[in-house]
Amino acid sequence: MGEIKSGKELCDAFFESLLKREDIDKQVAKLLRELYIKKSFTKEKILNGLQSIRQEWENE
Amino acid sequence: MNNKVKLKELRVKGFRGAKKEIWLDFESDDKSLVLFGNNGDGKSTFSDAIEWFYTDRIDYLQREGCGRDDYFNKYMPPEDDAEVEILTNNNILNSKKILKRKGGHYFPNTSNDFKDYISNSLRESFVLRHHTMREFIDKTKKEKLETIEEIIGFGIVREIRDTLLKTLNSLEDDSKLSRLYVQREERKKDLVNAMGKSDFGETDVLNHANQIAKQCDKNLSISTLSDLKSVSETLDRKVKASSKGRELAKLENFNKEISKLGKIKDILEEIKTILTSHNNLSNQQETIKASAIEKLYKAAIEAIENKWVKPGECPVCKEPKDLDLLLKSLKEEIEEIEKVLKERKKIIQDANLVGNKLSPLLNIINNLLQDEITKGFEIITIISIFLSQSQETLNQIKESPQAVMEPQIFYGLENLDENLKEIQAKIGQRKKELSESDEEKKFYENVHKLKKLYEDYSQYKKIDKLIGAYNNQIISLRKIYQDFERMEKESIQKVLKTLSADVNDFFKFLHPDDNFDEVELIPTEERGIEFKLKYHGEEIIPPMKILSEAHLNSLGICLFLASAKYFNAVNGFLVLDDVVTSFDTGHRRPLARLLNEKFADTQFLLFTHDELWFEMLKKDLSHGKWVFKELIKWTKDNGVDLKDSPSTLKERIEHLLKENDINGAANKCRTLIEEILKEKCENLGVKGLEFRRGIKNDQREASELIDALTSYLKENKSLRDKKAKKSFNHLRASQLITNIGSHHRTLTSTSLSRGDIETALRDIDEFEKLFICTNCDTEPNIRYSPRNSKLKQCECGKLRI
Repeated sequence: MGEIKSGKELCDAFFESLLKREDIDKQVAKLLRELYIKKSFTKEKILNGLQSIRQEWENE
Repeated sequence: MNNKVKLKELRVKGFRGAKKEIWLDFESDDKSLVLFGNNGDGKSTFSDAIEWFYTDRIDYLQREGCGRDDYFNKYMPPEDDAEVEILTNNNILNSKKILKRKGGHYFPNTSNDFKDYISNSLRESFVLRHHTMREFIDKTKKEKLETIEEIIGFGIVREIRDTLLKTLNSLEDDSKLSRLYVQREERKKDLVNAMGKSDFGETDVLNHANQIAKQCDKNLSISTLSDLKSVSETLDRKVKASSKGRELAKLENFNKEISKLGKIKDILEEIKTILTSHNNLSNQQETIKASAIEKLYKAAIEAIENKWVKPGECPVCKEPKDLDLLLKSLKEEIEEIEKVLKERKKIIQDANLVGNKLSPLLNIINNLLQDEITKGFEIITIISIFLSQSQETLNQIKESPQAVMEPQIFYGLENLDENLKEIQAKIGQRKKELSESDEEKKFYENVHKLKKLYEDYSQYKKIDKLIGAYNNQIISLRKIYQDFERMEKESIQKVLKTLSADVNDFFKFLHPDDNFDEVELIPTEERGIEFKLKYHGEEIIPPMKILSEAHLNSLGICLFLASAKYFNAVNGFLVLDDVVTSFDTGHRRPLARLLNEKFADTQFLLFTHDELWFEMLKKDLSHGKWVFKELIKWTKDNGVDLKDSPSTLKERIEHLLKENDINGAANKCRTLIEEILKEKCENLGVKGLEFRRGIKNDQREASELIDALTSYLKENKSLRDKKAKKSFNHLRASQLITNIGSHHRTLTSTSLSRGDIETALRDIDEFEKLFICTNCDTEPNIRYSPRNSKLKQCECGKLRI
């Protein structure tokens, strides 16, 4: 397949690079990466995770 | 490529056309195979067996409505299981697959290596059939993209992109967020009213608070939010120390809250508008209910478009239907459903927004209801009922598309403004009664203002922070989604570029003189892809505009080969089941050369019912690397059966003569004459023999070929000597004799003699000699000749015809 990466290889690399990004919220990046690694990347789980992050903000 | 799995043997028993055990032996794992068989003799039994072995299904049969019961041979004992066994160059991957009569199937090889192999093979495409080779080209742009995504294992990418987009949309449409916006706006309005400034920051709030505090006590000073909190609490404690102060503060608060109740009239108008839209839409309730079966409609459309259903039969009710009309009607239904659902979504969004405005008003009214001051004012009770009934009405609208009655209470608010003014007047009167002096009154007012300022501002800040948190997440998620989508597009483009380079290369290899160039798969504006190519330098998109059926089929093969080259990482074999039938004669040999030259490491299983093509392949392909087999006529007692194929047609004719099968020999002789004529026509580029749709291409008569060849020679004043003319006449005569012998089966063998066939073979030899250069032993061919030259020359240029 030469330089062509498989879908999984692309996704692995994308989520790995998220943590190094300065222009996006670190907690959001961490949450998405964790859910991807745990193979729990669903809308419901992401929304619940985002809600918990907001809750932490509110309580600060 | 050398580590890829190749086949050593394929055994089939009781499966499809195979009754007894029958096996294709590839002699060694490097050898490719050409299998000849007439239609109905069981070639596809082998491609079906391979497809079922790896995928549990035979796609084209499934689309025709056939299931596992149809996989069993119809004439085998009814209790027997069917078996397919594949032996490969890697022994640990060898296994049978048993199709159990009582249901289910299993592989006796249960090793993890084998399981992984089957699972990885599922992602590869290695069987191409005549009737599926155009599938990709005929798909919509979106389907083409989805197919490519599946081939290259981008299913996971599509899923993640969809999840990101759905999450982003849900977060942006979160009702909690819209409620927070309303609450922040209310707090802001209160702060703007309190400070008399339309725009403010924390310094403005603190400066304003400081001014108020100084009016209460010159020694007080506020410079931070914590100062404001502490001063406000101290003063409030002081006020509450006296009952008069407490009551005055409460009245002041009521006065403010009552003025907010004035906006109930606007809310009433908004609810009425929503109610009208909702009740208008309720006339289309059936459509809304039909939305529940929208998925079913979409599945039916997919089934019809992909031809997974029996022709002329509704995929849902199985009743006879015109599928084109049904498809049109289903698409119109879905369009209507989507339109109505969009309107309903908007109504629900509006109902949520108005609902958010009701909650704070309910709190106000509950406080007022509990206080003596509002006793006797019926309007407070009316507002309370109005608010709870409005809430109920909005809930009904959101829950069901049924029409909702307008509550009677909506008509009880006509004198709202006057009634609220009466309450405010009473509050004013009571405040006057309580205030001993203007100074005292002012003090109480200021204390209340400070308290309210602190509450409003701290609440405003808290809400603002929460909105900020939401927006921060939305912005991050949007960036992630956009970057992910960009990465996906770039990767797809890279894949398309790579595939396109090969498709272009292969297509030009097959059609060197057809002026095609730059065949490409390109992304389209809406999420999809399409073929593009240049014809005589002009850009053509989509290719259907100008390509003939044969060219489109050829494009289908090129794409299949290109994708197999890049994405079949596990298996090194490909099955081409009767795909050349769709090619014109001129492009069959280039296809053989393409497979030989560009896919030297790939093992091919080439099935054909075209005898001429079979004989041509025997000549063109190396017998060291290819095995040639042919099917014996299928019978229900024997099922599919095989034999080795004599290496040349001449050998076969001689074999038939030995067995005294004169008619059989005549038949093969006719085929041989046709083959030779086609070869000569092709070598010389004789015009007027274009591709014909379907079987007509195979049925081209020898007489037609010999006429075309004669015209060519006449036009070019070539081979006009007596010897050549005599040889042509002899061949024409032999062609006529063998044609009669092979087509008139009722004639006895005495109608044609062994001598006739032997004479025909001699005529063929003489005829062939006319075209061979005595110097270089090659035939004149367009390949050796200058472009556009009338006469074609042999490799050394000595013989020109």
